[in-house]
Amino acid sequence: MKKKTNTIFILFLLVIMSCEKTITIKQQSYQSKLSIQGLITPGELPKIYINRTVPYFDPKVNTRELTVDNATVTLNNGSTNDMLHFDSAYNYHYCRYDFFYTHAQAIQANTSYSLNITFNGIVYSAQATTNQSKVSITSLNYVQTFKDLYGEHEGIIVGYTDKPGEENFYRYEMGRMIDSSVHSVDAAKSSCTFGQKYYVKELGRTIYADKNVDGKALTFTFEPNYSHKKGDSAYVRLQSVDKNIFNFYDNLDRQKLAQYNPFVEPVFIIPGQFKNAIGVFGAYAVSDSVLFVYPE
Amino acid sequence: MFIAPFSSLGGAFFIIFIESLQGRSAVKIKLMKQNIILLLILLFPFLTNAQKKITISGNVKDIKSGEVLIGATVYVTNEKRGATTNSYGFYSLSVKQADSIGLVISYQGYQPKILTTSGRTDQVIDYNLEEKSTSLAEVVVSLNKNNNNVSKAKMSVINIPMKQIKALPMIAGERDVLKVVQLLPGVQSGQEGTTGFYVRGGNTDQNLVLLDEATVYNPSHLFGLFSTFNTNAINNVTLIKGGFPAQYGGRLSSILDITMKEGNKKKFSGEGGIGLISSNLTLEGPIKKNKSSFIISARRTFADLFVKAFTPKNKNSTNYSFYDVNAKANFEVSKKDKLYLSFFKGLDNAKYVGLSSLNYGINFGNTTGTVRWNHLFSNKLFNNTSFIYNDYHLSLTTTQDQYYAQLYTGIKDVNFKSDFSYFPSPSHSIKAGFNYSYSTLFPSTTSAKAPKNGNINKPNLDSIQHVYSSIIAFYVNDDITVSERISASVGLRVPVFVKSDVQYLRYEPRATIKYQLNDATSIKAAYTIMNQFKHLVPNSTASLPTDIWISSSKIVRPENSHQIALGLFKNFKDNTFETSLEVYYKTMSNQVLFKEGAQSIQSAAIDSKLTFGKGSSYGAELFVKKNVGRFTGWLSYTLSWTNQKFDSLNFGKQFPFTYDKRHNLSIVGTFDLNKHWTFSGAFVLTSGGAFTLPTGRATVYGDGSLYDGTYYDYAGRNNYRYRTYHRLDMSAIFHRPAKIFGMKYQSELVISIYNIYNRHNPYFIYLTKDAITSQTSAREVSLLPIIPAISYNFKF
Repeated sequence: MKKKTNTIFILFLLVIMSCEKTITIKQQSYQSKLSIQGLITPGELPKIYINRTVPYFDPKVNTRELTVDNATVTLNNGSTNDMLHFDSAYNYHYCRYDFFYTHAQAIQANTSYSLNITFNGIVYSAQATTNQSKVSITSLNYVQTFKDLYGEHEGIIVGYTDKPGEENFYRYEMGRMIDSSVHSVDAAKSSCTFGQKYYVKELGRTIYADKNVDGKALTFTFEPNYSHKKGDSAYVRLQSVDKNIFNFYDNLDRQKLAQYNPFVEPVFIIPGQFKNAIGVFGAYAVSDSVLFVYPE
Repeated sequence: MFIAPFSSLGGAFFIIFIESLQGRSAVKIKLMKQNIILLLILLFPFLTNAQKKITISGNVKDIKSGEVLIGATVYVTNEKRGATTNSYGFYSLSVKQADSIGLVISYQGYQPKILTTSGRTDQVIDYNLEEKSTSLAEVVVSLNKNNNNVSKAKMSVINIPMKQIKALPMIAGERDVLKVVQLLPGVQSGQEGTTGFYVRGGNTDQNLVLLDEATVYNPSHLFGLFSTFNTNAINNVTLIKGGFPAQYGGRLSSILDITMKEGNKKKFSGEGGIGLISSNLTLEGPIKKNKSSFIISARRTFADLFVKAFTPKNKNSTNYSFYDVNAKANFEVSKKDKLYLSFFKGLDNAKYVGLSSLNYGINFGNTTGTVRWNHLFSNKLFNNTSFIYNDYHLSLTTTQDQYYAQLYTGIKDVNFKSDFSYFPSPSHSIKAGFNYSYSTLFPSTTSAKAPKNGNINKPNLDSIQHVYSSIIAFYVNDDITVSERISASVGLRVPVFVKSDVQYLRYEPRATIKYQLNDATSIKAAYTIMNQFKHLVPNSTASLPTDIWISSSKIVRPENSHQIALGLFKNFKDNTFETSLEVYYKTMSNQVLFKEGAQSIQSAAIDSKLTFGKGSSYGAELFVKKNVGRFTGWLSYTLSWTNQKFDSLNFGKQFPFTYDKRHNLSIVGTFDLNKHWTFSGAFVLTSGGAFTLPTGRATVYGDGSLYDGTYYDYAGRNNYRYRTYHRLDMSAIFHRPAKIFGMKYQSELVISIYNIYNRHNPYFIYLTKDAITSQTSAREVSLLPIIPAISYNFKF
């Protein structure tokens, strides 16, 4: 009897058993394009990141393989036409170089800039104007747990008053010194700083629009990227970004959520300012820094 | 004429009624006039027919059980034409007066009956047919007048023999109506092993599944591996894919009309089965011999008991249970009145932990109840009035990769309908009626990252907004015989959807025309317009049933389809072989999908998360069927294309429907070797369905923010195809009379093998990234390997 029962149970297990294997998918033809991110703000040097996209299953994964180092990049503000040079900065958290184009002239306020990138004979152009209003932070608070689409986590609550009569978009920016004991939300820790402190800047993943709340006192809560201890300090600033930045990063944010959440329809990256390229060239203004000390 | 109040005039009056209810007193005289003109056009041929005729009417039944035979043919040899029995086994024929009239009564799988009757006065004759034995099957071929597939002005309609349903091999030996439906031309199956079916490019919600006229919203058990329909309780199954008669409406793509048995009117009997997944028992018998009867059939899985017994404590708490109960009673109140009571309840409850970090809790079920009253006003006028209630709910909480989705769908419908069948002359068979339904839908959906403590609160049903709506539909349909060669079925259905803030009035003309080339060959054409007021919003990415039902609203307009079909129908060897070749073209508007990236923490208005588009489907379907003999079965092949277009999806470009499968071949056969052994097999070969994968990878960097990372560059939605799907299933059935405690009964041992050559067909594909090398790859999950099964059935 027992033997019979076991046989039946094994057969039942077959029903609910699955088989899983890694497969090779025939890659569809894919035309590589540029991925361009150039955000400018008055008083700071421009940094234009240019990478190439690759077929999905392409083995190239590191930044050096993906960066485009032979593009001709110029920034024109009507009076000067500056050619940017290829440069890099060491990313101490991920122990790698990040590559970008820059030059020695700081960005001016209330100026229209035209970015022109020439690569493989194709010219990619976009414009941005540094005329965003600086909006001051009126309060900073801490909450141990808050819930958003990315789940439950701690948060920093930023208070400010929207500039009335304008279409505004806001996101937080935080700068702090950390060391290799600190991990980011993707669980990465620095493996190359050996206790030495290094500076990190982080940006909020969500950009808030002032639609329907024009001119009102507002708060939003953001999730910090790096872990902390009680008493750690950081400087928080509020970015007022232009609509192109909002559109691009909002698109990325929604796709990121769809990547994580299997119950959400996939989000396509919509071509923005550049024809035949993914990316953004936008301007933003930043508020004055406000010191924030983690209370726990 | 009696019919007027029930059709066009009725439609017009109702519109006026609705308008006045809503304080819009302006009467639409124009609409009313249009309706009256349509009515006159439909009835004109019938009004002009006034020859001297008699009427022959009655019922056709099984001689042993008294069960009615649906779709049996009563053929008049004098006039070389016939009628078929309706869902209640009733037929009515007007024939020219004659001294005697020759009749042949036939039904597939039964011994035909030939007789002569007086042709001078009206006759009421009930016929009892006897099931054929295997040895007789070949002898009676020449008497088979059942060539309805060629001679009737009906197309895209398939009756599925119950014998075939009971003989075909299925997963774990469970007989299944819906699995057989998937083997028919024009029908695509859903994910491997599931009962979902997609007809001529329509989504699953575009199929109206009726059990004794009650809608069954989710006709499945065990994650869709089995249907809710217990084959022992079913009398008849008909699938309509196009050329819809006007009495049907509310869905765009198909009607699956399932009729329960009435129960043995002659003697108490029973049948049952013990299988690997479930066991079932059916009891039936007369309440009053030859007058009234009952049937009760129940099925329950015992998989949960096994799993509980064999799963160690503190391990994965996988568990699953389901049951269904069918019950029906019928009473012959008088010679002209019959009363039918039907009840169905099915429930699934599951908890599942496992596959690809997938956890899952689901509880869903359908409850339906139908009260029907048949009344014969005269031998030319038949009426059925029904009161139908159905209640459906699905509660699902599922987590996958640390994200959860939670949804609740509740639907309650109350239906009242009355259908008249009128047989005024040999040239006309008119159906008319109305249907009023009141629906309450309460959908809710939430999806976000799972809380750290893992506790996901159950949805609070009281807080879900209830959405109320009504639909009233009037219809009239005339089956017209214009000449020996030409006949038509012409109808009009007028549904009106009413919700507190919106109403939709739609006209649905239906027409099927047949031209008979010879006794065995005809060509047909059909045109139909259909509308749908309830919608299932599918999720294209999750590997689980996270679909949700919603009602039409101001934002969600009724789905609409136009379908045209052409067909060549030919039978061979005295209807032993039926063949058909149909081509169709269907357009669908107001199709519903979730917007890209739509998700919510709170289950707020779902409407705002939807996007709307259109679809089209076209193709050709070949069907070759052998009806009689020791070997029966069919071959079906479908070549089709289905595409969708949404302004806000896929850069506004057209993309293939998820179940757009170019080729679909099914070969099904049953062979009665002798009185003890029956062998069956089914082979399925389909092109892979469509799914979405990115074609490129884009790197985004900027100051080490949370945005940094890799993004997907999509070239198109549903841009990839799964591998070709194929499998072969076989079964052997050993029939034997047996005895227990001195009581004789028929026993059946069924040995079946699903997926006999253990093909690993693709179930879904997902992407992964190596944590160390960051290399991307794809992984494919296959669900059902070779599954041998054994079950035991008995009948007394």
